[in-house]
Amino acid sequence: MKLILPLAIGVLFGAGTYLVLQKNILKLVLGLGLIGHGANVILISSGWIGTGKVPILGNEETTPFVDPIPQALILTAIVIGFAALAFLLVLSLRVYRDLKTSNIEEIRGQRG
Amino acid sequence: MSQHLILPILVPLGTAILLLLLRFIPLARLVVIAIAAVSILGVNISLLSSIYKQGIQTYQLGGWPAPFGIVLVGDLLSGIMMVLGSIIALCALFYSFGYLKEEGQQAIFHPLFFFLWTGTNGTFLTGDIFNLFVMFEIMLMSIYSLLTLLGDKKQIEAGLKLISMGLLSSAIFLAAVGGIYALTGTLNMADLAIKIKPHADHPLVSAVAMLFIGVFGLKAAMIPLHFWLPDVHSSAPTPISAMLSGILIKVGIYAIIRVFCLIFVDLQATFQTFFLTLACITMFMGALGAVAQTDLKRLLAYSSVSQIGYILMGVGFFTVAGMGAALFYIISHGIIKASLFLAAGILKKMRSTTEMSEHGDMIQHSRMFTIFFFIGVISLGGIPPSSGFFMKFQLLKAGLDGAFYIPVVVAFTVSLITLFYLFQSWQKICLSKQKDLPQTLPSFKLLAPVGVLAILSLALGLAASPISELTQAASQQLFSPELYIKAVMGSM
Amino acid sequence: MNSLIFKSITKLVSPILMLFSVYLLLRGHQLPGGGFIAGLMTSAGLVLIYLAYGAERFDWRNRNRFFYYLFSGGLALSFLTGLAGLFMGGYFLKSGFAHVHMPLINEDWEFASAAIFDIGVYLVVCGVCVSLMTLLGEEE
Repeated sequence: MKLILPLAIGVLFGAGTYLVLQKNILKLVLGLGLIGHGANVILISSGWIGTGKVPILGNEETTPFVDPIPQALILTAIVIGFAALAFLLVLSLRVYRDLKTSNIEEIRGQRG
Repeated sequence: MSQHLILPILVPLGTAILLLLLRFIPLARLVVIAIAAVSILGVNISLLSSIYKQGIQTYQLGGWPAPFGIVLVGDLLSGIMMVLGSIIALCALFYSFGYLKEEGQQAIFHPLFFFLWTGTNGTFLTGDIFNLFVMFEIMLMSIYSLLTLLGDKKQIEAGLKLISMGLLSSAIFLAAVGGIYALTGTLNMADLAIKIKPHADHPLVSAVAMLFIGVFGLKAAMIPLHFWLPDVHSSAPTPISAMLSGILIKVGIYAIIRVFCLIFVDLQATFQTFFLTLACITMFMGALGAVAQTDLKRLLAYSSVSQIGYILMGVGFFTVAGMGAALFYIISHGIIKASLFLAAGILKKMRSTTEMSEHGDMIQHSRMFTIFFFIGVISLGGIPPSSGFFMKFQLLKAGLDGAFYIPVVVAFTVSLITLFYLFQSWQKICLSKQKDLPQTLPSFKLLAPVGVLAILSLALGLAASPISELTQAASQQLFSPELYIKAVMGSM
Repeated sequence: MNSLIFKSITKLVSPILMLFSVYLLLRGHQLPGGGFIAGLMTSAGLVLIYLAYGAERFDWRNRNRFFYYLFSGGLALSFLTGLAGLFMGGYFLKSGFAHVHMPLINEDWEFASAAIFDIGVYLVVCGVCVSLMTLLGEEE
């Protein structure tokens, strides 16, 4: 279990970065989503306690618990990320309809 | 404990929801907006005055005591920022009625605008690092939608940049929160300040501080994280440009001040050179970028980058005088820049472009516009008796007192460049000859907010001493974090 | 999508999804569940119907106003719950609960004000998700 979390973080960030660097706008969206989930896993690992049980009311005897706060935090973060991603998805659909392309390089119309 | 502190969040939030429900009844929306906007400004001013009289105030959301629940904390810094935000928002709101012609656009614009207002007020009030993230996201989400509301191609492209930036920065924010939570086991900022003290030399603390600088620097658009700002600020609908440049980039600066004057107090000396170097580069590169622009809104956007450098410099001194000067700078620059952006919006309405070569002869078409624009130019350029002179003077004086000679020299040079590009743009737009006649003349609805903000910036120059007393008091409070900690944790 | 298998499965599955989402919503106070998850589940059921039957049974696009009022109403409900906490408990979002004796089944049930907040969240999520899906699924 000790290996799984860091591995998950690494894979999520790595895959996310790879996708963000692609030219397709949909891959950008997916990549940003993966990076967001990588950050969520970092957050959940900050409350990690060895073989802790699920922190649900009613089984107080089975100590130790994992820290419930990071889990509450990532729930919030997931909801926020979900909303932002949905918006980004709608926006990229709009870009596709307006410009008839999903290539990021062709969208770039403004001067730096 | 007073209920006063929750009102700056509750009133805009309730208004936004009410506006959503009243979508198809325009007249009722108008009444609600008018009452709510004025009352938010009133609430914020009375809050600032009560903080000034009675010291830092706290409020426990849901009645949960300090380190466990989310607290709202009102100190002088947040009070000042909220009042500034409300003034700019009120003007932008009034302006939006003249700017957005279609009823349908207004029906979406106004609820989102109040959500944005909720987010900014919440950011300034919250005393919890994760709640800061949530409030940031409320703010950003409203900006995303407000930016792309009109569906212009440029806006959608800028929106794509802004959202990608926002998603990335929230990922970094979460990583930073995870790091700091793993170390201390708390999220309350006052509690963090206590618990991080023994770990001050831990490398994780500096790493987290650096992540926070990255996140907030991205929001404040300090170089090299400024890349999104010119596109976003120049293509946004004008009332939103004014909000963005007037108050929202200052939110990033606010967060930097908050974490470095409360949580990472011991790292101030370590990061000082870093801040000052970044500030100098930001100032200089922003001004150079502005000189090269031919579009007024882009010029103003680059100028915002440059001015953020000034504010960052004041923060980077980490002295009471420097911080006070930076706060004065935030107020003064917010008002001036909002006024200038709103003025640029008038030009956009007149000839449907903000390209400077397309404009001219404004002095023939509208005397008032020329005067208001001129006030903005001399204020940002730093010519007395405008508030711009005092903001720069205080900053440079604080720098000289602290013996930071190189930043002061850079700041002085850059202020000359600022004066140059602003005067040039004014001359092009107001004095130079232009044969084509404009489509429309500026209406009262659009000119009034510009005028109010311009006159306010002049008044700020004339009444500089009471305001700078206030900012100095706020700065004093920031450099005695034990006051903040006691106010939050004392009720345990 | 015009597949008989998909349509029949949808007929079978979507009522179960809806019922399960209500179960999740109601147990959310003490156990895993709650408004957000339940809302997602309900909208998953609705989206399933949308995918299987399209506009055949239900004219989604002309019901946009209904979903609009669904999420603004949900937002208002949650907000009002918070306000009720402010006026009755002294703090914004202060939650309260009461034990009510149920006459027929002879049990004490706990009613928490947080549940009303959750119902608001549920409505918001349903409204937003469904209007999002119909918006994204619109043909060009």
